[in-house]
Amino acid sequence: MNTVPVLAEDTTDEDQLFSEDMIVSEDQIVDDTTGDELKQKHIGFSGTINSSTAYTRFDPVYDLTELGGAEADQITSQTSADIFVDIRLQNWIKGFLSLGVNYYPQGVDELNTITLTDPALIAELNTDTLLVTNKKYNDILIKEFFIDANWKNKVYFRTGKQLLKWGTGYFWNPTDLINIDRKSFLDMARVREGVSGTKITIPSGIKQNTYFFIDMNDTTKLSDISLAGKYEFLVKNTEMSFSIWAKNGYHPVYGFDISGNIFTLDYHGEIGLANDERYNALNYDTLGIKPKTGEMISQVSFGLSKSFDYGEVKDRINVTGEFFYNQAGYDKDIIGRIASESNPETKKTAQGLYLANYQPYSNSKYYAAFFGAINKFIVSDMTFSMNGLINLVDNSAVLTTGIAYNPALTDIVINFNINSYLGAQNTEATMMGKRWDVNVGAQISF
Amino acid sequence: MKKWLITLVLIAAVILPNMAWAAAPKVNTILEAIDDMFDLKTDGTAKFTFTQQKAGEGVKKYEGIYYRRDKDDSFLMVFTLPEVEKGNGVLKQGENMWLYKRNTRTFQHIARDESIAGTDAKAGDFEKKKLTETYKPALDAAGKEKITATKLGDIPVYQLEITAKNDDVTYPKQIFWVRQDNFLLLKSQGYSLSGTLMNTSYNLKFTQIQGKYLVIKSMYIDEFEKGNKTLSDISNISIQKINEHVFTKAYLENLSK
Repeated sequence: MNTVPVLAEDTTDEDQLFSEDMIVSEDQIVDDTTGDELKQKHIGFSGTINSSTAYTRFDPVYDLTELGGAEADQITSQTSADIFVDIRLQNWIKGFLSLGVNYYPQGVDELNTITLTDPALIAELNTDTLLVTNKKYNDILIKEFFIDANWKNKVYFRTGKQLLKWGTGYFWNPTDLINIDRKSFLDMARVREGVSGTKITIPSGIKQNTYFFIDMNDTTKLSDISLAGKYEFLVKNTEMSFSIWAKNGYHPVYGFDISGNIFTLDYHGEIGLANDERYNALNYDTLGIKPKTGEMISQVSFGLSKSFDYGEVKDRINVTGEFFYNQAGYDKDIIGRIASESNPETKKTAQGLYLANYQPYSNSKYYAAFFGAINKFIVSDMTFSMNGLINLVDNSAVLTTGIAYNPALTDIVINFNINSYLGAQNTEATMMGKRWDVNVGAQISF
Repeated sequence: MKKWLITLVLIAAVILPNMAWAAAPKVNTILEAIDDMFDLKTDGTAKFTFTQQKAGEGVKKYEGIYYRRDKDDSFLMVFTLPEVEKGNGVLKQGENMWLYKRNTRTFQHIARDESIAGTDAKAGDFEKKKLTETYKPALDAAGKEKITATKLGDIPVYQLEITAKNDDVTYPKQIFWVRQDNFLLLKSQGYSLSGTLMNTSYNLKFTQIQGKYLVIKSMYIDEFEKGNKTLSDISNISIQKINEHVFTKAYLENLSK
């Protein structure tokens, strides 16, 4: 069957298209070995290389961390690679390695938390942790490294370092107590770092799945292991799951998530319920860590997605909106409170405690975000995107607008993004001192 | 003589057009025949290849494996080429469809029109849909079905127009060219709601399995963005019963990287 000549034609000659015998006999096309290629021994290499340069407009006055330096104009560049090695053996046993390699020509500050053990030093500094910075120019990170096997296609095992999907949220996943590397609002497609452990999946057709995860991350003894379980099921066009996480010495954490569609809207939501022992929040008045009360804390995310036709193109515009509620989150402007503290020692300690427990865009009580994309923007190979996230407590926001150009039939994407950090001084979106930045980059896939 | 002349004119004006009309079958009869001739009631596994071409910019090839279970109209498709798309796939049963993205290890519970693996193909394109359930004959100003006898190359065909019964279709209006002798669908053109021609498709090769037809080679011409063509090939077809475990998220994840 010669396919290329037909494609190579610029015009379509219907006489030529339909001049041949158009019925191919069954014995020429039926082949019962289909799919066997998936079972063959195979080693595959693939990956992506990203190179980007950013110009950042920086204001030291806004920099709560005091780590950003004094320069108003900052140029940074980065070259990164994600390299994937896919090793298939017979009987559906496979191995996979995802390696992240980063190079920072100007160097980047790496923030580390040091736990102090000297009682005298702790007493003198009035804290048992210190934040220190080191400048690094490159790093190599194993993001995933695991082996897959299964028992008669009834029980599937994945053991090693792996990224798990746990929860339905687009940006916020309150039920996900397993993954440590959180999603980045400014780079939602980033390949994240996994966690070490063993995942066991027991499917019951399409409609039901049971998952277990034995979390071995940072474990040195048996009691360090945490366990998570999830039962997922389908009711008509709605998928739901109940989950539980347990670890020796901690109260269990419960989760529920849901996804489906109604009319032309896709919806998703999840709720996590945990004892307040998991949250370290500052008391707004004293700036000390709030005492634990054993109260159950809920975190909820809910979102809607819809596609719109525009200019003869179906589903050209895609919009997702998401809301996040954190019962343990700050309901007052805590960053402003820390900045206005008159006692320098209390202020420094509070800064350290706040940053040590900081989860980007999750620490306050209410957040909202939207993610919008217009496909075939101006030209067919370009996508325009605009994403925004607002902290509804301190009214600060981050807005990212950009275009991605992926010339047809190529494996290169050229990106241009402008990120704006909006809000008053000493608010979440502005506390790193960034006012806005412009990023230009390219990504190749192989 | 004058009376005879008037009578002949009346015959020509009234009866002959109706005779010509009567020669063409009803559009619904053709749609039912198409539904029936492609209604292959068996499990199936096949290799698919999409070859995309853009004028002056070369070609890009996608390959994968497609599994379809007949009893509940489920399917699973997974890409095997290019390497960067390898492992991305779609699992579908009934109204539920999941898009597996290897990069983020997520099963996204999606609407059926989501694009897959960076192509213009939509997940819904792989569903088995009956024409008689989604389309109805288009009528002209006189309330008659739009169907005419014509030729496609040297092949006598009927050209007919149909309109969508609901929004759950890619094209609200389509024009079909079907063979007069067996109603095989050879060519179709899809139009947007405003009447713009969006796509021309040619079904170039067929095979017959268990007495039913299967399109194994098609060409799609993007009329909205001139110069874009996609050739679709289906090969290595197996009609053996597929194991239940294939249609699970765990199996798709295991196939993936």
